[in-house]
Amino acid sequence: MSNEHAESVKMVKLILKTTLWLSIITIVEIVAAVLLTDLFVKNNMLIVLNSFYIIMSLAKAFFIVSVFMHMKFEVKFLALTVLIPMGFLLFAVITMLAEGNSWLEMRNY
Amino acid sequence: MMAEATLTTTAVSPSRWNGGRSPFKVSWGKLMMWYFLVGDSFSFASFLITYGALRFSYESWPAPTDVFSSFPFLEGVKLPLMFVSFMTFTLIMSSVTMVLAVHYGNHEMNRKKVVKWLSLTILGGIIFLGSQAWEWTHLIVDEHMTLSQNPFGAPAFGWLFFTITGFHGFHVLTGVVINCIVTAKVARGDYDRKGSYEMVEKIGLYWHFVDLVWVFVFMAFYLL
Amino acid sequence: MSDQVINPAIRPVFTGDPTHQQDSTGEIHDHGHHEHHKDNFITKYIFSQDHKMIAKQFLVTGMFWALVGGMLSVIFRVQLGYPNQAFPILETIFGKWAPGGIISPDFYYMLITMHGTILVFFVLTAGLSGTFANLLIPLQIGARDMASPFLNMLSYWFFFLAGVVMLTSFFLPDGASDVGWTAYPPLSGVREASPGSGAGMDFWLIGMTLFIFSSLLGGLNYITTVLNLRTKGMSMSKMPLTIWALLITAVLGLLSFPVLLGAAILLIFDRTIGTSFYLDNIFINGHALANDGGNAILYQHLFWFLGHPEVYIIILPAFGLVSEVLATNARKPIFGYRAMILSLLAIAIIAFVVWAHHMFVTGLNPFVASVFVFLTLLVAVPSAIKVFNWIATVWQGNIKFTPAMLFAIGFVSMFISGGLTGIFLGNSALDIELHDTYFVIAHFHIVMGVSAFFGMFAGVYHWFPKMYSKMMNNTLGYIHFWITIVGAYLIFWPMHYMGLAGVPRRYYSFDAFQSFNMFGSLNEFITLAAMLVFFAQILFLINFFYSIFYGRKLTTANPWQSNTLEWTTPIKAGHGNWPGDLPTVYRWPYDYSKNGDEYIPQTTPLREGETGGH
Repeated sequence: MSNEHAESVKMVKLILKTTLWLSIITIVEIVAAVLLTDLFVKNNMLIVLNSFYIIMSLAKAFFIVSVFMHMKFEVKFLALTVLIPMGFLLFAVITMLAEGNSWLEMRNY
Repeated sequence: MMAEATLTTTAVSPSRWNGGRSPFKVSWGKLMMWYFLVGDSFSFASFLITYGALRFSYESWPAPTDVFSSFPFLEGVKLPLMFVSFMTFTLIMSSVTMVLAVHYGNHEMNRKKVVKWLSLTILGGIIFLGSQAWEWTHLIVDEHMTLSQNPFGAPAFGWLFFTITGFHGFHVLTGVVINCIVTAKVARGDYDRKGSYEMVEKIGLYWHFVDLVWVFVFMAFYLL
Repeated sequence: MSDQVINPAIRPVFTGDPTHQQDSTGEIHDHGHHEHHKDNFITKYIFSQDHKMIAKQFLVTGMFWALVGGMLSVIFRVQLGYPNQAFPILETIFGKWAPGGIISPDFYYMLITMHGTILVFFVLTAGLSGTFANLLIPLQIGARDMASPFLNMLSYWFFFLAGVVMLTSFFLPDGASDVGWTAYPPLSGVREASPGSGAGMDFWLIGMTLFIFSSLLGGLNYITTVLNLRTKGMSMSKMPLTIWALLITAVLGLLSFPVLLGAAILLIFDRTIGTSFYLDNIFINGHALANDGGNAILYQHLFWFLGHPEVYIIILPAFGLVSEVLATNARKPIFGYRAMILSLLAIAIIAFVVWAHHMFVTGLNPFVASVFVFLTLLVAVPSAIKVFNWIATVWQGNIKFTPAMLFAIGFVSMFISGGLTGIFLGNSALDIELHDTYFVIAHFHIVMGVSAFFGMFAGVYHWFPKMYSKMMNNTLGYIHFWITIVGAYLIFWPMHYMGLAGVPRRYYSFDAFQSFNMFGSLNEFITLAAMLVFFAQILFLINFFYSIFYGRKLTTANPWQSNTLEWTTPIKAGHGNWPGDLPTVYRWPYDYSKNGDEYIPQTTPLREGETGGH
């Protein structure tokens, strides 16, 4: 029983640690958006900042799924069955952004 | 049971994939919830992909720091992204309270703690929905950003914003309603009698998913 | 192996609630001795939670819709075969839709729209995988029922409701939707665009939304059931190919239907609350529409993200059924069991990355198009593997030509014929010439319409004894088969020539095109063939319903001497399927003609020195 209790305390600690990370990432993102956007736009480097947001959002998603949704503690194959379909979305996103861009080009043509 | 008797005559490999049990060590209910969420992520993805494609087809796009710069009760003060930070924080916190509720249900079957944390989750959900209502009202009434016009730039931003945050808000609302029902059932002792708090875990998955989606909605509309 | 006669007196009798008792770690606890609640008429036949009854409900509802959808095609074929010729009876039946006995253009478009919608979604999606996933998944994996019998019941009733809404739309003052089964905007996005763009389209969208819910509820159940509720010994590599096919079908549905839901929601918003996702630069009677700034092609992308997996949702269950029927009736193991599974998986993966090949002429970015050409042509590889394996399975087999077997062989023939033209159409350069011609009609009707129907017929003839404990009439079955296969080729083969000559699809009449007059008599011939095939299907319906009541009674539990678990249940299996404990599986399902035994059921323990593999 005490063993289980120790487990429980450990888990709560992990949850709180994850919360901290999620908060920090969010704050960093917002600070970047408010303070740095102009700087990056001026230097034509907005893509760097945007990549940063995307990576940070994926990190947040990872924390939420692995700890909050317990995926970390599930059988690995379950995680795979959930993750593999997301590959299709990646393909769809790339294709559709290319398409959106080509709509713009056609409109300007 | 007969199956055990036959096991002695013909060995059935003990692999989890060999039938008679879940290969993932989860009940069908939890598995179904996971796969429902996979499906639902595709419906959200269809919206966000729509957003991406349309945005790429536009020469210019409103800057989020311009659009989202108001805070309730602080009229005239420009506080870019501050209110949405509050909303995001609320949602993260409600996810934390939910994961604690799940934790105390699964590990301690502690009815009181579960009810406490679930109630806080519901509160977080309601605060989030209220904030969203204020944000929408402000954008529509004060800034005149509607489905057909947008003073900040491309009208497409307006209808994409209302549709996608609306769809997310609808999920939050559904989550709040489901949470209320389950909280009532926890309080009534249904899951103690059943001997399993798995239902709390299942709705927990749904609630975290709503938080997860918000990460990307937040990224799309408030950051990029 | 004689058929097991199950005597309830000496075996533990299962009388429990067949809802699975599975604990939170996923262990199945099969409690056999609970109090059994009595079924009344409503819980047994209407709001039934027994997967076998739900399967029958799907089948019979699917048959109803097949009849309606087929009838619609016969009616519009009359216009194509006999343009401008008056048939007074049409006016008697349809009134204002056929003034003077000639089908009106609006009515024609309604007919083709609803024909497509009904057959693609209601018949070949719900009717096919709804029927066989429900019937076969629990029976072939050794489960008492679906994971959630309740959601399973809801799945059927959402489908039923979707059907009621669709059927109602025929009787609206402006008629049903007439914008094509793909519902492309702006025709579907602007209420004033055509008669059916108003209320008819509303009903279509509501019906489809309900249908999507039904599909998702069903699909979630199928996936979790197959993964979680296999009986002891039923590892993934011992599952019949039917189950593999149905599992992958359900996965495809789960990932693609939500996208259609998204597309439909955006379309509904465009139509009702003034968003412009799909609308841009539209003028109606000289006035610019307020909706502006969207893109109609966006809808096509979202639609075909569902639409392409959808054609595999239609054909994969047929793959599974045919594999099973071919192996059983050829008395030979399926050839290349693992290759069959891998090609199913490959097809499923490719299904999600080829959708834009439906859009080569929309002004798609040529680079994107080239990527999609490559990925599309890849589908030929797993498809060819499957065809090869089916042929190798039948090769030198001790073939029993039951009606089910004939349809399964017919399926392979159809699938080859239609698949080859798919390779033509997958090339964007050729597609520019062939797009929207009768060549496309011929291609997809053969490869997915008729093929899937053949798979379905094979399934119905084969599993009818399991469903109704009666046999269907073989002679009628043979007549049905020969008329259908010859007729189907007579209908669709000539269309290839028309398509190559440039005859466009969806046209109400070709009066304005001198060059297409040469196809006048061919069109008449196709119409007559279509009618013939339609009446052959009525023969099938008669056989089906007659046999339910007056068919030869089944005397053995395993009429086809098949290996799979469904034939180890009693002739009339109750809710819970096995009266005793759940069966244990020791071997794969294709041990036919092995070591002198004609067939060895999966429940037979391995003999000395035998391996359970393939």
